Amino acid sequence: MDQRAQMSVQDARYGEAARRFAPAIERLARGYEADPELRRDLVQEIHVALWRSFAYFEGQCSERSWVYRIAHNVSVSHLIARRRRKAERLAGLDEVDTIAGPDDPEAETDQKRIANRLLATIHRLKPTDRQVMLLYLEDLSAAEIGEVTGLSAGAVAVRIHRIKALLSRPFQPGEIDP
Amino acid sequence: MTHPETAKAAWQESAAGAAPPALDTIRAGADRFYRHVRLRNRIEYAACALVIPCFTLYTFLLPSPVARIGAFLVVVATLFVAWRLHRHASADAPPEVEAARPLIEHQRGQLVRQRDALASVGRWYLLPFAPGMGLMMFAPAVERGLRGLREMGMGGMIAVAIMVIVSTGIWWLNLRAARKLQKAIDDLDALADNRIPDEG
Repeated sequence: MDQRAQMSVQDARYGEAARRFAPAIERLARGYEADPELRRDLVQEIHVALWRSFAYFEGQCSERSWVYRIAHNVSVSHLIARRRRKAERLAGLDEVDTIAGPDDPEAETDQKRIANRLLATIHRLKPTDRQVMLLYLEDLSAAEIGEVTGLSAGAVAVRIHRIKALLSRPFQPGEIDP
Repeated sequence: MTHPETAKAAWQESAAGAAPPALDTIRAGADRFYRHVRLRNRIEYAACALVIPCFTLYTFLLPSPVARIGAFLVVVATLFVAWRLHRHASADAPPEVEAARPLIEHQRGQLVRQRDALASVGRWYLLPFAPGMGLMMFAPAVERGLRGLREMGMGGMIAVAIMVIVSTGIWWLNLRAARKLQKAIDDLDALADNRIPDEG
């Protein structure tokens, strides 16, 4: 296949995946970056990596796992770089008691309020727990989460159990400790 | 009480209308990584290009032969460091190769790379300059023994002390940062072994 034909196949595969996963990528970026400006950059960075990756994607895993892997890896690199500049205290799932976040008077619906509180909680989590929670909320199965993260089945199961327990408790309005 | 499924639905409802960026924007951004690497390399090579002519001049102009040898050794050290930088830069994997690995491997790879870079600062970027700088600063003592050492005076001693303290400080800070990263790597390894670590 000549280079131009290869490029158009890459464009087509990326285009299809990007349309399908754009909302998930946006949510994932929200989970990693609270600053809107930096988040726009992160979303673009993820799409660039995704486009490049379709030059050599040959069904190594499902397309869904592939997209999430690329997106999370770019985001983790972003998170590591940001933490080098600004240290912040992050917690494990075992340290978080409730899904709590500042009550947003702008949020028109309960759905939005829940999403905002989930986001505030996700921002407090350590990278591995954050990854599992984001993937769980995107409805990936435990096996898929293991495939994306590389965590063992046991480690994924423990985290999912903690997330379920956390989500079953009443959501709390109120300020989050920085 | 919020059921996990309600939380999932609320989460997936957010940003439901997000659209991907235009393909032209993606293509334009695709070279950013390489542009960044090229810029970083240029800055590092420019620093070397500044040091080399300066210390080459010293090898001819300084009155003391020992100090001239010291200046020559600094030039050799700079060339060595430039070669190291060049080799390290060529070994940088493009992001898409890294990005396809499972998260935990990717994260570990990044941490190991950062740890090794920090741990090797002393060995590869400070130590090579020690013989040259040492000879330049202690040239009077090497040439005239104790009398030369006295001739260096308080100013010379303070300059040596500052140099040693700054170099040791940089070395120590980098080692400390490398140790912190090692802790994070150990935690990831524990995760891979299906233990739940206390992550840093």
